[in-house]
Amino acid sequence: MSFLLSNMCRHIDGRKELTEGKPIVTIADDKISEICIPLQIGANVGTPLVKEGDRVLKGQLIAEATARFYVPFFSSVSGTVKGTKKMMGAQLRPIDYLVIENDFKNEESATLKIDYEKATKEELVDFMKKMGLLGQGGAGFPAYIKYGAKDVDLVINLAECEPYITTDVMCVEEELDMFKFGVEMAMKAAAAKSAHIGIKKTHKELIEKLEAAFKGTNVYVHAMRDVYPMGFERTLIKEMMHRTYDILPSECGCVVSNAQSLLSFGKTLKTGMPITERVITVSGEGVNNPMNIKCPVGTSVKALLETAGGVKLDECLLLMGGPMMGSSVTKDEICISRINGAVTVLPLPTEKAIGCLRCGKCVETCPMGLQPCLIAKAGKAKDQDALKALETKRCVECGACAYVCPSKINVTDNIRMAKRIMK
Amino acid sequence: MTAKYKAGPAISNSKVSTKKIMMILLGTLVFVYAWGLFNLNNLGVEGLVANEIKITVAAILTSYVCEILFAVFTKKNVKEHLNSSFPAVSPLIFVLMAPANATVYAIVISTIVGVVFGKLVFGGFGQNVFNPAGVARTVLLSSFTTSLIVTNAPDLATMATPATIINQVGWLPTADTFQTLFADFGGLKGLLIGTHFGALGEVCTLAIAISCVILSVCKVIDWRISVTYLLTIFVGCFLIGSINGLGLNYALYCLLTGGVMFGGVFMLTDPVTSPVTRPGRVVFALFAGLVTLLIRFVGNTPEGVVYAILISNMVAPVIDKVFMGRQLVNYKKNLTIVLVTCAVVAVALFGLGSTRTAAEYLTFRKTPFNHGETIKISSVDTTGAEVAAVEGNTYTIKLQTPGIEYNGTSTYEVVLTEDGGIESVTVVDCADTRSIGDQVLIDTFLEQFENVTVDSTIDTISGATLSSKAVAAAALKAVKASNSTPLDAAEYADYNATVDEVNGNVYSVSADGYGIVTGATGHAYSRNTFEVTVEDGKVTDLKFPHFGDTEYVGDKCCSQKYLDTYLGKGLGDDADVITGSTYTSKSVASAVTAALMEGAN
Repeated sequence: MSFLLSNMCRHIDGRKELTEGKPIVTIADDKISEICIPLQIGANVGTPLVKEGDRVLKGQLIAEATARFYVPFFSSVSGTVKGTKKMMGAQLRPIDYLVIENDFKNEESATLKIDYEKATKEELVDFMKKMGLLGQGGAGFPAYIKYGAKDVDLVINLAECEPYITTDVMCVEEELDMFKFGVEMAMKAAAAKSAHIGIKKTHKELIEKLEAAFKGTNVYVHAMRDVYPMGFERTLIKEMMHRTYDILPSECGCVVSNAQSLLSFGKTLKTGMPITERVITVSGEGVNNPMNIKCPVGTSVKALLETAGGVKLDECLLLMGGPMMGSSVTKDEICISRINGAVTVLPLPTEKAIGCLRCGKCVETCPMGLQPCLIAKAGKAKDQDALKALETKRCVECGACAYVCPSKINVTDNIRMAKRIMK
Repeated sequence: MTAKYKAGPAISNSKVSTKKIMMILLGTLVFVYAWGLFNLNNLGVEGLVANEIKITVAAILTSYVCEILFAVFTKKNVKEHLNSSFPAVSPLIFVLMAPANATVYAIVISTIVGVVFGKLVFGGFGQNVFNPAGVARTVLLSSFTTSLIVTNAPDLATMATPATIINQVGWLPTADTFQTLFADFGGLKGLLIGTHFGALGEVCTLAIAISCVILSVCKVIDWRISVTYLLTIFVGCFLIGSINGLGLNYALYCLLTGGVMFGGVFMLTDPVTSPVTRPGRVVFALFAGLVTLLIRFVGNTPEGVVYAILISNMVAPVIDKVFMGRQLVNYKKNLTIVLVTCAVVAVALFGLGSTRTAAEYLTFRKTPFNHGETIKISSVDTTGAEVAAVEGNTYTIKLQTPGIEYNGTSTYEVVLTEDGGIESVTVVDCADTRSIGDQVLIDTFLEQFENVTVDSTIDTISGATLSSKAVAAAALKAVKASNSTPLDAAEYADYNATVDEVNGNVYSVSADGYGIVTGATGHAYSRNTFEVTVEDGKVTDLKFPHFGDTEYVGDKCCSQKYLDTYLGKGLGDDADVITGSTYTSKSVASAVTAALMEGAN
């Protein structure tokens, strides 16, 4: 407990026990007879390379985004293209989906194999780009951009600090050897001096397994405190590497990758196939049978919820992702992209907001070290000078301030609105 | 299934709510209140506890009425508004700082100003700039002082509390006078438990310290504010005291008197009116501590805490502004600001300490007292008073003030004049209630007993009537003791009383008088003879047939009026002594005793 510095994090009940340790269920065929692949990930909008009636194979390139970063899109099944359609996306804006009718033949397209043992750093990074490896922690930042740096420390994020979500930990535990291979290759691609795996200390068994797997290497396993947002790269680097940076982790010699991204990297290198499948945590108090479900990219949320025994609430919150940073959606027709990892169903919050008593709990918890209650107040007063002095734009909307607020004020949303009115 | 939209996180910490925070705060306030009420009851001043409860209820009701009217006028749901504005907290804090003998009228007016102008005009809970209880207390302090006091307890303006007394000497007494002062209020133990008079929330500092721990552990308050503020006061006073030859006890005295503890734990920490960042809170508390000490040492109000808190409330938004932005990036800047503030406070306190001069503690016992009823010394009841020792004309009397069971036995020293009048009375050891009963120590009160007779009148101290009467009782007892002699044979060994003849129940007794007992010459002294009639162990008749002592001195005892005072008396009773004829009186008493003893055989 520092006298002048805030904690900048806090423990949140993870509710991981709902899904952790339960076997991963593969989705039934009848739920995926039609696949809708989102043609937008983050701000990257893909232009389709196939047209209605075309037959596509599993792993085939079907669209490309080139405007900002190069991001390829792949078919996750073999079948016939039935065209594109506009539907609600995970970010609450309508986006284009490519609809593919699954023929269940699982015919794979030509593979892209490289000799990874001999490949240079540049070749590996180029492979990442072609395979469209994105950060699978939720941000979806293209991996090849980060791996351009040299002489860095690889920070592997296995903190999975969002409540309810267990996909990272379960996938890594299931395919530990593949993960190890992915880490070795990623270190090569990043020309990393060492790698550091940050995992919450509550996962005792997995920590032991990881320590055994990486014994004698320069890959170190760090047992981290069970606090939110440990998975925020700034927090992880501060807590694990004891370093700080201004905008990008590379400033302090770090490259951060989500653990499952590295697992995927290993798999793509071994198979030559892009990522067409994901393990999605379907959990929350609103789901009858919370579980992790293995499904092709483009599976609808509806199919996932049905697999997990359906929703037991008449009215609920449906979240793409976890409860803290996941986006609240109102339709279950949304289909998952390869950066989604969870669907959470929760009862509606009932507590009414009352006046802010300036208790400072949000200030205490903000991982950026900002003053959320003051930002919210300045936003309401449209005080541009104060909003600037408060460094409002630094807010990452992690939701910690709203979580801790004893007056149940939606501080995070107030800050979001303050950002919007900023000049 | 219908999925609803909600921005921001979907879950919140169900373990914490503002309501829970306010309930814990309310709980600790009630704890301090109960402790204070217990102390108040022990002070033994009639009607004070009842009045305290009355003003508490009045303040809380007033606050509720104001909030309800506010909700009605602003077209809010009354029930919801009351649930989210916590109307009971501010009036309770206010009452804890108000004197127990304030009138309901003064309390209601102050509460209205505090709640309406301190809280509601800003928009209600969470919006206020000033601490509403602090505002109410300021109104009470500046608008209602002497006139609006009920019961016979001392009033707010002249009441002796540890804070008001030390304020009279400018908060910096000399080492000797501080020792007296410290002892007068029961030392460290008295200050911690709160056995002296004062506002309910100010006396029981131990209860406040316990509350501070509870509130900090439950994260209701930020301990940084309390600790920094209390440390500033403590270290500051230690510094100022050390420069002027005062020790640790002085610093503790300053910390534990007045509203410092209460203000530092319950008021300064009010999150609504304090900064939100940690370094901001530290600077805020340092500032409040400095202002408190400045008001105490330089200003002329009796207490600085409430004003210091209100002034600090005013600068809280400015402090917030200084510490805006990413705290990790600004850490060095923030740390520098905190350290510079510490340095400024230290320099200011050092300057304060070296420019002040210690003053003699001469005020308390020299001040005029509040005159109560006028009584005749001879009219008081001397029950319970005991003569502990007699040395010449000096009588040591011990007496537990009647009517106040809580107190111990006080010791008084009464010096009598040659002719049986009172020369002076001193209170050697006063066991009466701190700052109420012990007002009998005030010199101007005791001066009333100088060179008077029991027929003179004195004025009691308003609010300390029982203790005043006890002093008068001690004086009366001494006079009575000098005027009487017990009918006990052991007292009269020198008088050689002998029963010469028994005739039925009439005893002829002879006894020595002044001349023979003292061996005086120049006069033809002979033994006195008496005829004593005894029935059922009591004197029914007394005659003085032969008088052998000095004429015109001892013969006052020959008067039948004096002899008749023995009628109805038995062994062990007190007989009167005529001033100036002590030996002859005792000669009579020795004879009567001898007759009574003979009769008993």
